[in-house]
Amino acid sequence: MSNKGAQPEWWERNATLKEEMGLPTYEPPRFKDGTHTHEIVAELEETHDCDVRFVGFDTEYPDDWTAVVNGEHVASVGRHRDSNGNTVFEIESSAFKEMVLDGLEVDS
Amino acid sequence: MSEHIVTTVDELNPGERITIQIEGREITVFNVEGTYRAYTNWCPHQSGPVCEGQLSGTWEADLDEEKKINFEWGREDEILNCPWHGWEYDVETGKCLSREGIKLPQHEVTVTDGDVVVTL
Amino acid sequence: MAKTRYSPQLSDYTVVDTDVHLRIPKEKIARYLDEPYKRRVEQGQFPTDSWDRYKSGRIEKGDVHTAEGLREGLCEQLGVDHPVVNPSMPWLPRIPEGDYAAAIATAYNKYLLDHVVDEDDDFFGIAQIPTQNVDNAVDEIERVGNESNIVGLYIIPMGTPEPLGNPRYDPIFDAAEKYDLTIAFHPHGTISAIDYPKQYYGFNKYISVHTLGFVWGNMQMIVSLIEQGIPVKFPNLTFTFLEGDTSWVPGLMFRLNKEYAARRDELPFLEKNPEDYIREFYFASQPLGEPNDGRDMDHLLEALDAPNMLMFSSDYPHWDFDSPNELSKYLGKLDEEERKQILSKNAVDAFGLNI
Repeated sequence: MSNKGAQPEWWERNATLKEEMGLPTYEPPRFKDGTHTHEIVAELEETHDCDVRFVGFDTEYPDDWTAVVNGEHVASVGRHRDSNGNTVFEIESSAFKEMVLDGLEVDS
Repeated sequence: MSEHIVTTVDELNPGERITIQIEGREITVFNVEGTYRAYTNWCPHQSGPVCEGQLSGTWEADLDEEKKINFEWGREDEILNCPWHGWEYDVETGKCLSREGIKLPQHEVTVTDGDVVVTL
Repeated sequence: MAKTRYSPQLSDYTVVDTDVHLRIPKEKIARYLDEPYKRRVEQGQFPTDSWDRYKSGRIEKGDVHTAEGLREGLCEQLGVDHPVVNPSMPWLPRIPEGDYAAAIATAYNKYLLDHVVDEDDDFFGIAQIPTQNVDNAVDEIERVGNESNIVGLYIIPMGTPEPLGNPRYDPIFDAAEKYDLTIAFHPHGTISAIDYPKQYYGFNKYISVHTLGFVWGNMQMIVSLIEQGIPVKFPNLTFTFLEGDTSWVPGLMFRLNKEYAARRDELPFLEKNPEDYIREFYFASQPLGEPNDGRDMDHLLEALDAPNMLMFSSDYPHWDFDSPNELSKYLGKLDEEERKQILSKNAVDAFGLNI
């Protein structure tokens, strides 16, 4: 599970926005195992000096999104909204890391 | 405030959209006939993925002098339909068609050197 | 506009969903039919209506018909622990041929057992009962009555020549009581549009029949139960009402009390006020109305005595489903025990669930 010790400052901003909109509780996008994506992305970007993004190219819900690494489309990722309207990517965080490293052609 | 390059002008054609995860939420940028619009992808109804709903037209109506209601299907591709419950939004303004005062959270979009930039 | 209601986290609670539908492909139903009904369904002769429920694709159409699909879509994604699943053949009352309707109901119930209820120990089922022919209805109840995890009977309270409280239908309630099966009345917007009242033909928008049909269906069923003394005749039967909205229920209770006070001699077999009988019924929460001011819904739920009468339901995967969090907006004002009652304990009591 994720380490909530160092919450990015946008977390509170997003939570407040959802509350103001009268929407269910905010949680950042996460992987299937509950790890928040921003933690994994931060780790990958720092360690491997890369840029990792989750993008829906002209998608309609629930089309798969694309993991984009250094501007390259690396893989498709399934996703859905949970009952609070927060996003869950249908892949374990470890599998996602491997996928990104494969895309970078780096040994995991 | 933070600026984020979402895509390039060449990669987002009229009628297309791109949804990208930025700072823990999903932002969708639409190219509406050459104008860019960016919204947070949360439907004010129940938090559904509204920006990834179908774009369509809708029914409009007016009352004529004889008090007859005339229906007309129009505004093709201007109406964003939330896929969860069908709430309709004007893609150009983010305004909800059925609820006064309800609007999608909107963000400024600028173009700099061919890059489409969203400001959160 | 800032709204600062406190909504409890539903993941902290056991959640029973009392109205979960399946959308079973025709070819899979056909496998459970004998000839000549098998070929009828295979050839696409299936009752339906022409309303555009999903706005020609603008609303996403959920397509779930397996235990696995429910586990993923409803349990994992929406946080439901125990679905009470109905096989939901919505147009069953519109089939004029009694034997064909009975065969369809049986096929749906067999599918429900094989592919959902028997596949997951957390899942429960309510069997759909045809109402065209009372003997067929009783046969089906006898057939499913001893199935473990079939906890009730799904009955659409519309489309019959007379309301279901009429003594003609007593054998259905008798059989249900014998097998300790809870009655779950579930109305349908467009059954009324064909059968009653006649002025329904004049509504030419789906919003109208959908708004009225569900409310009307359950409303007239409650009045019929009281009129015919069904709770008196079958005191061990539990009655639940699904997908009918609940905001009108307090008004109906109070109106029936007033009527009964003046016209008691029309119902001399009643042993207490109509409200007292109705307060022993259970009501599923979906669809929750959406007032301009949420406090109005607080008042309605209080008048209903929601902690004792309301059971959470989603109507998954239909287009007008309520996410669990739609209800949780109104649970913030209740105490912990009251929330548990609504989210699971009332359903456990109503359906005798073993969880």
